[in-house]
This record gives sequence, structure tokens and C-alpha cells, in this order.
Amino acid sequence: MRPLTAEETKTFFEKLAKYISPENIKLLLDRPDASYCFRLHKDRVFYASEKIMLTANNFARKELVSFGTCFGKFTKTGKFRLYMTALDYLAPYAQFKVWVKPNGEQSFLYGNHVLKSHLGRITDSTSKYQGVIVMSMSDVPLGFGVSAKSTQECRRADPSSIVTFHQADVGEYLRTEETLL
Amino acid sequence: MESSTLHTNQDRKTVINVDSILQAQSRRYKSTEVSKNILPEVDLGNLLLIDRQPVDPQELQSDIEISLQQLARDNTQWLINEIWKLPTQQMEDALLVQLPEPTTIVAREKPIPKPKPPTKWEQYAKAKGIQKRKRGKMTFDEKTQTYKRRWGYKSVTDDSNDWVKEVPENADPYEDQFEVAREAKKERIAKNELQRLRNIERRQKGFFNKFEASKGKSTKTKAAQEEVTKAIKDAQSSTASHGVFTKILPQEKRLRKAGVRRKLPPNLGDVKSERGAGLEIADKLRKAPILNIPKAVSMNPVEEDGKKSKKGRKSKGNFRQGKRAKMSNRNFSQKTKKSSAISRSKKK
Repeated sequence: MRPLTAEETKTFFEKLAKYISPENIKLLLDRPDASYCFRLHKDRVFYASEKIMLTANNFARKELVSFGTCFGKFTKTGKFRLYMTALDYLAPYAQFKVWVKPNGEQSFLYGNHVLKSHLGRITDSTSKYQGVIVMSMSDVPLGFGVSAKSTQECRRADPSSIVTFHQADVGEYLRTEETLL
Repeated sequence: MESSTLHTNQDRKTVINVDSILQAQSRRYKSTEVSKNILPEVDLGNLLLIDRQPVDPQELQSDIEISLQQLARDNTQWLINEIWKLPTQQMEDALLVQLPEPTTIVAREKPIPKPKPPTKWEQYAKAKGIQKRKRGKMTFDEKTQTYKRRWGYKSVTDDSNDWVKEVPENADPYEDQFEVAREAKKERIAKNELQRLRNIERRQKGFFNKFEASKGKSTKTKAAQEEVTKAIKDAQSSTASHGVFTKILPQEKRLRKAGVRRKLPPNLGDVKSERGAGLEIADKLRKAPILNIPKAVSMNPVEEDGKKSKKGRKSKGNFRQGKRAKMSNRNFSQKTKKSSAISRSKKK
């Protein structure tokens, strides 16, 4: 376990900034309730309060599986990949959202892309390839992905065309339970 | 030595018991005679004795130190007895013994030297089937009617003492033929020296391996790639700042310097300052202009082009434009295009 280097922090924040604005990233760091921090452990980035981090620090590197919330991991090529578990922090601060109709929820939770026919609402001024949070119509966050089309294009799109590329969904908690972390 | 004299009061004669003296002596010095059931093998050349007699386990267990000492003494005595059987020589104060040739074959310390790899000529001769023939060192010189060496100093072919030289028909008449001969000899010597050195080089161990490795293999081998990586590393760090301020090309990777360990921040450091650094990075991200690629692509390129071409034509009419000036012009136009496509994330 160690703090992220400047370079790693930059890569990580750049990825986060695709879903939540840099302003909100600052909110994650500067919290009024407690001191929170990001820590790197086994190439994974964990977000935890200082207290939990210090407690977890007592465990050997090999024995420690997880602490706090896992945001994602650094790939071997140095890129950052967000994990499903980060959704809890992404959803409240999300800038761009996509709402899925009840009939499309299941399809998305099975790991499929969001189709135009399943699209309920979309944030205005969503550009192409923008990181978006996928919500159900009752505002329950289901996962996140990348917009395949801008809001303008969505209006004219074919019902069977893909609107949002699937990246992660809460169904993963069941589907890939063993390899989640 | 224990004195074993007996004194009789009557005649005060001293009687010495010889037996007891001898016994005492024998107790002090052990006998040189050693008895063995099985004769040991002795190789005097190596001063070696191999005791084939089985060890009595009971005797050994009773007192291991003493029995081993006894065994060692007996065997050494045997060896020395054998040495004494050899003819001796008196040399001043010393007695010398000539040891026989060793019979036991001892393993060689170093490996057998490898045969020298053939020289270039030997290779050629083998390929052509040329065999060495024995030639005498001296040959008969017809001119002087004496025997002279075949080559080298004062040889038959040595013409350095000639006082006159023929000028060949096709040669320049003003050329110094003595000088030509001297030069030719120098060149021959130099050529031979070069060939000699080449043969040595070929004989060097690594030469063949290197040659074989580079032969017929592409630059995609691991060794070749490592060489390339090393070259890049050297190039990156060969600046006044040792590569600290070296600009990295778009596709280039910043290679980590060998032997320099990266220093990571401590885990239990100051969380506040760490947070400050994180906030700073987030701030920079907020301020960084984001290039909206779809917007940039969808900008009206015809208009831009038209402007540019107009501008270009105009400037061409006024003065001759160098290549560099044109380049900077192009950069400028790109910049304007980019800045119009840039939007701060805050605007959204």
C-alpha cells in the first residue's frame, strides 16, 4: 500500500474526469466528515478514510485483499481502468447520465450495450464518447459506460442502434463475483 | 626414565636391571613394526597409502579419538617404512630418496586445452586440399653460388642490397624504383600483420559466437532489441541535464534510467500535504483546455482553406517565402483552428 505518484494521480484523475468533473474530484479528496485518501495496493486504487487506511496498514501486503472502496486498477501499460465498485462515488457526482427504460434494464444488467429503443432520457449536451452513468428511470444507478452518440445524434438514431457502450454494471456483482477485485 | 637400581647394603654394588630399562624405552617409543592382516596399497610416487583393512566397529566405538589416532599413526608408519626401503643418497647433511613414478591416476585439475581454431590460410588449404610439404630452410643461390635462406633476412629473394634496379616498361621513368620496392615491402609487412591480428581475433572465444549470432538473424531478436533500447537510453540521457529536460517525441517512451530507483512517497506520510498535491492536480485538470475533437472535425474546413490559400497567394506575390516561413504559417493556421475548437470544461 502506498500513495499514488503524481503521474499515477494524473492518469487516475483524467479517467475520473470523464465521468465526474474535476470540481467533484476535489470534493472526494476534501471531505468535511473525515480525512479521505487514495491508496495504491496491488495496482488497484482504493479510496478509504485515513482511519481505515491506517488500520489496513497493519496487514502484510500479501494478506491484504481490500480496504475502503476499490476505484479500479492500473493496467500493465499504465492506463487506468475503472471498476464497478467505483459507481457509488461516481453516480452522485455524475455530470452526464443516461436513463434506461424498465424493459432495457435487464439487458444492460446482463452486460449489453444500451440501445436507442431502451433509452428513456439522456443529459442534454452529451457529446460523443463521453463517460456517462447509466440509471434506471427511478434514478437507481445501474452502471456506467461511454456514449456512442451525442444527444443530437440520438434523436435521429435508429431504434436498434447503440447509444451507450457498456463498461460496467451492477450485474457484475453476481456475474463476476470471484474476479471483482 | 624411571631408575630401577637396587642397592644392597652389604657390598654397595650397583645392579642395573637392563630389562626394565628396555621396557621403559619401548613404552616411550612405539615400535616401527606395524602388523596388518590385509596389506595396504602404497603409491610412493604420490606418497599415498590406501588401507584396505576393515575397521573393527567395537574398537572404534570404545574410544573413537584414540582408535582413529592409532590407525593414522600405524598407516603413516607403514608409509615411512616403505620409504626407508628405497635406496638413499647422502647429500651433505641430508639423506635423499628418489621417489618412484606415481601409479595412481589423479584427475586433471584443469580441462584439456581446446585445439586452436584454424587460421584463414589453414581453412583455405583444407578446403582446397593443399598439403604442407617439407622444404629445407636453405636454398642454393645461382647468382652467388652459395646456400642462402629461403626467406627472411639475407634470403635469396632479398633485393635490398641491389645497387641498381630495372625500370619496368610501363612504369613512370622518373619514379624511384628503390622507393617503390621499399613501399611494397612495407605494405606486405602491414598486410601480414593485419592477417595475423585477424587470426588472433578469430581465435578469441567471443568472436565466433558473435559472428554466428549476427549472421542471418533479424534485428527483432531480444539481444538486438536490448541494444536498441540501450542506444535510446543513452541518447535520452546524453544532454547537459542528463536527460532531465529532454523532450520526448510523441511516440517515444521515457525509459527509466538503469540503476536509479524510483522514490515513492511514504504511506504514513503527511496526509494533508498529500491531499494538497491531489487537489493541485485536480485543479490543473480543471484548467486544462479540452480539445473537442468532434467539434474540431465538424468545423467548416472549406472556409478555413479558402482563407489560407488566399493568404498564401498574397504573401507569395509580395516576397519569396522560405520553407521555414511556410511551415510557421501552417502552424499558425493550425493554432487558430485549435483555439476555436477549444472549450473549457467549465463552460459545459
